[in-house]
Amino acid sequence: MVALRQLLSESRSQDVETVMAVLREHPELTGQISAVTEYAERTFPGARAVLEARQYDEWDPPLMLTVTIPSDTAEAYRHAFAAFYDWLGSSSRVNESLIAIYPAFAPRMAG
Amino acid sequence: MRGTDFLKTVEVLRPYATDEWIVRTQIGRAYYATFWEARSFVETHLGYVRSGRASEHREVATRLAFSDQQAFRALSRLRVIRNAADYDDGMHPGAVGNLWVEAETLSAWVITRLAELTQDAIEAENAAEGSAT
Repeated sequence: MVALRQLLSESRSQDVETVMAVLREHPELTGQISAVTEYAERTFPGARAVLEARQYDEWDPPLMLTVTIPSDTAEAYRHAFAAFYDWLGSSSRVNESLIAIYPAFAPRMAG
Repeated sequence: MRGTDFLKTVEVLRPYATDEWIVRTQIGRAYYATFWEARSFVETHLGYVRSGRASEHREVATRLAFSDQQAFRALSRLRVIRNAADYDDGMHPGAVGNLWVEAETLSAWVITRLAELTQDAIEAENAAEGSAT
């Protein structure tokens, strides 16, 4: 299981307080976040997740989990994107009204 | 004009895309190209009526989900990328470049998918008309 501290390591300090408040109010989210990060780690080598309290629009859920997937090409990223959401749709364990989950692109580093 | 016309801006700017502000602009145009195409599709084939509010961005994506979950997911992600490109300062230039790879990939994917869905909808509508006569 990925430690919450690790997921929050790149978050803004004001985000951390908000994230913790939401997780206290909805403790079931912690397990849901773990399920997503475990799937990502298992399926996409080198995947890295960041948890934030970022809302760009008023209808965005209070939390955002961005899972960066190292990919050799844009096409590989597109396939990973589709696989990620296929899994998320079939798992139906995540309350997406509370947390938005996005797979993001990063180039795979050589070596 | 139609949504994909915005992609002409992306092409005009491509030779200058070594500058971060150019890349951020390209991301915005790629999102709006895709959003306009999606809005046109849901209006024409799924009975969507514009609300004239900012929430159209959510409404169009949600309506698109009735036809294609992956297109809905990609359009939703594109909106977030566009917001990040327009509002988040202090990003590493490499991070902006990664967002552009995502935006261009997802935009092309959704626009292609919308063309397929449009073709499917036209065929279904023609078949329905044929069976009604």
